[in-house]
Order: sequence, then C-alpha cells, then structure tokens
Amino acid sequence: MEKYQHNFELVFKHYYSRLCHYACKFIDEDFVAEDIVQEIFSNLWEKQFDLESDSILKAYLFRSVHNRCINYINYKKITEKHHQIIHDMLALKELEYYNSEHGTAKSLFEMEIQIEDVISRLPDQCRNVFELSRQKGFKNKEIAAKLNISVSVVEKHISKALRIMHDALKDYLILLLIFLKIF
Amino acid sequence: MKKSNDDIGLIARVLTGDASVEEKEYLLEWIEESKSNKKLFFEMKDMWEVSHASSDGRFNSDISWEMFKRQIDISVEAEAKRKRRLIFRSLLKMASIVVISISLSWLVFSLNSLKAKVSLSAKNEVIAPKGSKTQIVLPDGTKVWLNSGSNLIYYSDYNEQKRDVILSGEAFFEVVKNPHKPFVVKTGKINIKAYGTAFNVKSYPSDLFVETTLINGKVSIEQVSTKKILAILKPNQKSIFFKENIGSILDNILKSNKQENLKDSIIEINTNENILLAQTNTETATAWKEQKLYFTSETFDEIATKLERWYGVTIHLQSEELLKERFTGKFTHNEPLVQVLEAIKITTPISYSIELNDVFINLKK
Repeated sequence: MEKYQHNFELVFKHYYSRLCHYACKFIDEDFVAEDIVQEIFSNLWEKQFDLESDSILKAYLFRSVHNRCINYINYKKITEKHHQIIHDMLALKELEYYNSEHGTAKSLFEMEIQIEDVISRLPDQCRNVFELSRQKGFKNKEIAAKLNISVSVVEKHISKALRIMHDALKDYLILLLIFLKIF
Repeated sequence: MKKSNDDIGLIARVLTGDASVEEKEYLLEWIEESKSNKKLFFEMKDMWEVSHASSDGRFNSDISWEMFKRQIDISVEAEAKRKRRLIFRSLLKMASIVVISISLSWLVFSLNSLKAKVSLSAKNEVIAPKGSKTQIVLPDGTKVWLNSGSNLIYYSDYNEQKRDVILSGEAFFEVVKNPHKPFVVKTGKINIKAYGTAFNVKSYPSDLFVETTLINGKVSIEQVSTKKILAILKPNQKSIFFKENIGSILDNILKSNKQENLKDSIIEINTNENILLAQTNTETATAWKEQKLYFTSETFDEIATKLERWYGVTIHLQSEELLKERFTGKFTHNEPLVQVLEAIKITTPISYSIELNDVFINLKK
C-alpha cells in the first residue's frame, strides 16, 4: 500500500502539468482543466490502476483527458453565444484530429527540445517578435508599439517564424508519426 | 505562393488571438477543405503551444499533489475513527498504530521523493504533532498558531505575488495587511482568502466540515472547483463548509447548538453549496490558542477526537451508549487529562482507565 502510494505520487507529479496543458489545448479555463485531470487521478487511485506499464498508463491518461474534454465542450455548447461556439467547434475539430491516425498527442512533449533549438536559430527581429508574443504574452499591438514597427510587420514576423519552425520540424513530425504507428 | 502566405497569416492570427469571429469561421471551413490544411493548422498549433508550455508555472503539481493526498488521507483517517467505535480492544489498538505509522511513512516518502526530484520551489512544512501546539511567523510577518495534529505547508515563492498556504488541521492566523498580495488558506475543496485580518480555520482530514471563524477584518470563502465565492465573513461570524452533503451532519450541528448560552445564531444555510453562515462567539473557536480546552455540547465522539489531539493519546470508547452523551465544559488552566476525565465524571457517569497512551472510557450503568 505504501509502495503504491509512493509510485502514485511520482506518476502524479510527472504527468500532472503535461495533462493539464494538454486539456488546455481544448478548454480555455485553467481550473476546469485541473479539475478534469484531478478527477482522472482520483479514478486511477480508486481502481488501484497498474502503474508498471508506462505506455499503457500514458495512453490511458491522455485518452481520458481527451474524452472528458469532449464531454465538457459538448455540455458547454448548450448555453453559449455564437463566438464561443465557433471557438468550441475549433476545439472539437482538434479533438477529432487527435483521435484520428494523424494525432501526435503523446509525443508533443518530446518536441520541446527541438523547438527551443529552432527558435534560437530564427533571424533576430523575427525571434524577438516571436518570443514577445508567445513567451511573454504580449498582443500584436503591444509588440508593434514596443519595437516601433507596424502591426502588419509584427504579423508577418510571426507567420515567418511559424513557417520556419514548421519546415524545420517537418521531418521530425513525419518520423514521429511512423514511430507512433509502430507503437 | 501568395495563397499559402495568406493561409499561414490567418493561422498566425488565430493562434495569437488576433483573429475575428469571421476569420475563425473561415478557418473552420478551410480546415475541412483538405487533409493537408487540417494537418497544417494543428501542427502549427502544437508547435505554438509547445514553444510556451515549458516556461510557465501555470500548473503547480506539488500543491496539487498535496491537495490530492488530503483526499486519500481522509478515507484512511475516517476508517480509523470508525474502528474506534468497536468494543474490541485489541483490534482498536492495532488499527490506531497502523494508521499512525502509515501517516508517518507517507510523510517520509513524500519528503524523500520531493528531495530526489528537481523541484522549482522549496517546500516548507510546519508540523504540530498530537499533544502539542506550535507557533510560527511566515516570511511576511504573518503569525500562525497551529493546533495539535495539524500541519501547514508553504513554498519558497510565498510573498512573491501571493501568499498561499496549505492547511491540514486547525490554525489561527494573524495576517499582515497587504492589499496587493492576497493570503489564501487552501483546505482542499475550499480556499479562504484574506488581505489583512485575524481568523481561525479548522480543517482536519477526518472532519466532515471546514470551519472558519473571523475575529476581525474580512475573509472570503471560495470554492476551488468553480472559483465561486460561497460566503464573505464579517467579524464574529463563522462559516461551516460541509465536505459531503449537508443533510446528515447539519442535524448534529443543530443539536449541539441547542444550549442557550453557547448558541450560534444561524444567519444562512445554503444547501446547494453545502455552506452555513452563523453569528458566533469567537472566544470558543479560538480558546485552544490560549491553552483553553472548551467543549460546547459535544458528543463523546467529538470529545474523544479533541482529547486525542490535545493530549496526544488514543481514546477507546467502550460503550455504544456513550456516543450519544453530550458534555459542556471549560478547562482553562492546562489541566492534565485525569482532571478533565474527573470533571466529566461529575455530570456523566463514566469510568475510565489509562494505560500509557491509551485511555479506555466506559459508561457506568
């Protein structure tokens, strides 16, 4: 019993933040995402789920988050305004995508290291703009004001960064797909 | 070529949050046009999210684990409490020893695994073991008194942007005023938020409710799962949040509230949100801090729990009828356990015997 709790704690701490981030891809509200993840772990604990097989556990965890997100979004749709519904539909499309053979859910976090490298090699101004937007959370208008350039230039830099990153990671993404299909 | 630039431009605008509703609708259609469109958008979205995920501290797994562990603790401690009601001595004795050793080893394991992992913030845990009380001062000058069998956790980022603490047990807080950094006591299902006040929180894992009593200032009770504010307390008010459904426990609380001079006048009962608000005598709730042991028309089950925490002993109630009896009394001079039992004997016909740390109480027929 003690050993199980100890292993459970390690599993919890290893996956918690990643599962929350994954849920947040589809659901805006942080605390709802955390609630979902916590419920999943409660379930896991009650079932005394076998923690030994990492791949089974990982698949189970991400699949659970996936399903609960679908339920939540469908439940919300009933009471929402138009702009929110469009947003939810995009989220549902994305959930569908991850359900199909093109999904790369479990491997997202392996991408982290590669991404850091690609970002560091972006051309200077392009990198500045991208980092301000993504990592410091500034809006396009704020970045334009800060760097004394126009908003459309800011948008062009971000598009450029995305294109470069996508090209650089394309091979990696293909390899990942093959890797996932084998396992 | 131009077309694909526009497409990536649109994707970028959606990802940065600068797209209009019409643009998003357009994107929805565009995704359905071809598999490669769909793939492109979601791959871009993935990269966008991954490029950010590692650098933010949005989800604190350490704090979340502590909250989760409380839930596990609740079921084990509740199990131990139920066993105490059995009449079989040896079974009782074994159960309490096992619970205590499991609690200790959990503490050791969690502390060890925390050290082994690379954690962003150092954890500080203050423990007041059963039978003693502790007082500490937090980095911002806030004073905390911990009642026996309680612990308080805070991280090294305390007082940076906020002041979060996790409480298991009972504590009295004298919070230093800081309108910019809210002081939040996390107890699992609800958070108690204050900016500069003095208040008491009672949230033992085996209790079925969380009791907050306000001395001065203002606190708000917030439900963690919905972020909804369930109550805002004024001085000399207390709130009782029921961890399970209000019904069964409310009866017990109303019964113990019958005695005239100790009565709390109930202001509001919200059965949907499982919370009760009442006007109260704050002296009763904070008496423990002054080393005063108060019993206010409490059942022997509650008395046993209080005595166990106060004196660090294990109480064995050996009569089913004893559970129905109630007792009221004040012990203000740090009386030893025997004196308390003798005082109880005056109004309730009990017989008791003490063997080291075990106390056996029976009802005389």
